[in-house]
Amino acid sequence: MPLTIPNSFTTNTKIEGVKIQQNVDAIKEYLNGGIVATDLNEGEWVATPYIMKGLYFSTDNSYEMVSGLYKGIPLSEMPVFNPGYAGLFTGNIAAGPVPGTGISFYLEKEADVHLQINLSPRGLPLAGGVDGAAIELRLDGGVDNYSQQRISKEDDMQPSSGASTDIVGFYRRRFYQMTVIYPTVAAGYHDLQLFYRGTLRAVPIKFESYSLRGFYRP
Amino acid sequence: MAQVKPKNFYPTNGPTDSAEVNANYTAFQGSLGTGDINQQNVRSEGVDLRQLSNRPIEKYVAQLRNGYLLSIGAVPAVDARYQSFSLSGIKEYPINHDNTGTTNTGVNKGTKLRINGTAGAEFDGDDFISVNWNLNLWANYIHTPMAELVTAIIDSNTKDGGSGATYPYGSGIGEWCFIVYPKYNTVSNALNDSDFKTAEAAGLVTGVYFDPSTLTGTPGLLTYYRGFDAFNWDHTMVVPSVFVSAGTANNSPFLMVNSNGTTIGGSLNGALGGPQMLNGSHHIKVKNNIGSTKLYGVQLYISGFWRMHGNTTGTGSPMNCGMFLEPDICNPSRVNTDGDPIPLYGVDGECGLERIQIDCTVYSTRGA
Repeated sequence: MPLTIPNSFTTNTKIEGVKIQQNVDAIKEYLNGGIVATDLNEGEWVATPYIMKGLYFSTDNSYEMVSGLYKGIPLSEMPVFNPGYAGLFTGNIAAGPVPGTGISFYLEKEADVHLQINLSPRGLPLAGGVDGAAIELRLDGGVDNYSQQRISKEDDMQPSSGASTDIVGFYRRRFYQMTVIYPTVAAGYHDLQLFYRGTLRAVPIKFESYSLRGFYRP
Repeated sequence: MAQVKPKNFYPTNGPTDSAEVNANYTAFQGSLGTGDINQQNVRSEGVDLRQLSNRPIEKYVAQLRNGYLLSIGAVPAVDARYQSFSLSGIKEYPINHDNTGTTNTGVNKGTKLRINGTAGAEFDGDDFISVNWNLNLWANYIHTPMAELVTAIIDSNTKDGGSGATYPYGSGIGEWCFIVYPKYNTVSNALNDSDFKTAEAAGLVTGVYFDPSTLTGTPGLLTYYRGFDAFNWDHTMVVPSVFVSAGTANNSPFLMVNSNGTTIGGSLNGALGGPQMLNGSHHIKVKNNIGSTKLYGVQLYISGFWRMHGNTTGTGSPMNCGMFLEPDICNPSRVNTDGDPIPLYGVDGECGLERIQIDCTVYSTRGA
C-alpha cells in the first residue's frame, strides 16, 4: 500500500500535536515494514545487478538472503533419477504399481512440477497371457490417462498368407517417453509411480530415467 | 522519484505555517506512492529477491488436454482423422479436434493453448520457451487394399519406378510419415488460426523453419521438397506409418499402428501394436531484441504424407536429402479412357489421433 497521510491542516487554526503524531506514525508504519512490492518502481531500476548475492547451501538446496530465506531451485533442476536397468517385474497386474519405479519428492510450498520420463519396457515373448499391456505414470496414485502408453509382447510376426521370413519381434518395441506438467501441486511429500495393466508374463524395464523439476508458485 | 526534502522548522523556530506542514506531508505521501520507490530510497544490498519477482525462473506455464478419450476398439471421429495432402489437397491442418472428436477452433480447445490469459507472455529477451506434447496415435488408415499399395511399391519392377517409369524416385517402405509441429501466435489473443506461424515467422527466433504452408507452385517432388540442411527441423515430430514389410511382402505389409486401436495388435499379423503415445518438444531461446512482442498461444499442426528423397547432387552421402509432400494417391492400376495404364505411385491415407496433451513454459534465463 502506498503511504497515506491521515491529516492535513488549515490556515489560522492550531496545528494539533495529536494530528502531527498521527501523521508521523503513518510514515513510521509505512517505512517500518509497510512497503509492498507494487510500491517499487521495478521498470526503472530493479534488475539483477541490484540484487545482493545470497548464500547457497547445497546440502538442502536452500538460498539464504540478508532479509529472509529463499528455498527452491535457483538455476538448477530438482533431483534427477537414473535407475537405469530397473529390473524385471512379473505381469498379470490389474492397474497396479510396478516395483522399483517409484520416486518421492518434497515441496516446501505449492509448486508446478515438470516431469520427463524415459524408459524402455520389453514384453518378453513368453507363452501365456495376452499380447498387449498399458503403462502409465501416476502422481500420488491418481489415474492419468494422458500418460498412457501401450506395449506389446515381442513375438515374431508372420505373413498372413504365403511364404515369407518372419519379422523379428523387437520391431514391436516402443520407448515410453513422456513429458508432463503437474500444475499447482500442494506443499508436502509426494510420490510418482509407474503403473501397469496387462497380463504379459514378464516385462524387463531398461534405460529408465526421470527428470523432475519444481517451480514454486507465487 | 521518491527523494523527499521536507522544510526544516528548526533551528529557525519561527511561526509554523499550516501550509508548510501540509507541504511536508504531501511530499512524503506524493513520493511514496505505488511504483514510486526507486534507487534513491533503497540501498541495493537490502533488496530481497522474493520481493522483486514472485516467479524468477518459471515466468509462465500453461497446459491443455483435449479431452478426447476413446474406448479400445473405437474408430476416431471424422474430424480426428487427418488426411494426407494427396487426398485432401490441404498442406497442413491445425490439430483441433476437441473432447468429442469434433473440429473446434475455440481457445483452449483441441491443441490451441493460450498463454497467460488474454495478456499474453511478455519477454525480457533471452527468455526460453519450452513446448512439449504427448500425442496418442490411435491408428494409421492407409490406402486400401494395403496389399496393392505395398506390392506396387516394392515389387522388383516398380520399386524404383521401373524401367522408364514416370516416377523414378519410386517409393520405399518406411519412408513415409506425417509430421507434427507447433506454431506460435504473437499477433493477438483472439488466437485465430491464420495468425499461428513458425517460431521464426512469429518473430521469436531467427532461422528458416520447415513450414508446409509456404509450399508454392504445382505440387510435385521439385516444388514441394524441403532439404534437411536447408531448413530448421528441430520443431518437428515424426508420426510413423508403414514401418517394415516381410520378405516377399505380397500379402503382409506391417503397419506401425493398425486395427483401430484394438487392445492387442501384437498378435495380429499386419500390426505392430495398439495405440502409440508419441512425445515431441520444441525448445527455443527468444532473441534478445524481441521488443514488445508477446506470445499469446501455441497450437499443433499436422502435415503429410511426407516422403524421404535423396539425390546425387551436393556433397556427402546420401548427398542432398530431404522430404517432399506427396501429391499423388496410390493407384497402380489406373488406366485412361483408352485403357492405357497411367499408374500413380503416391501414398494416401489418414492419421487418426486421439488424446493430446500440450504444455508451454516460458523460463527466464537471467534468473536470480
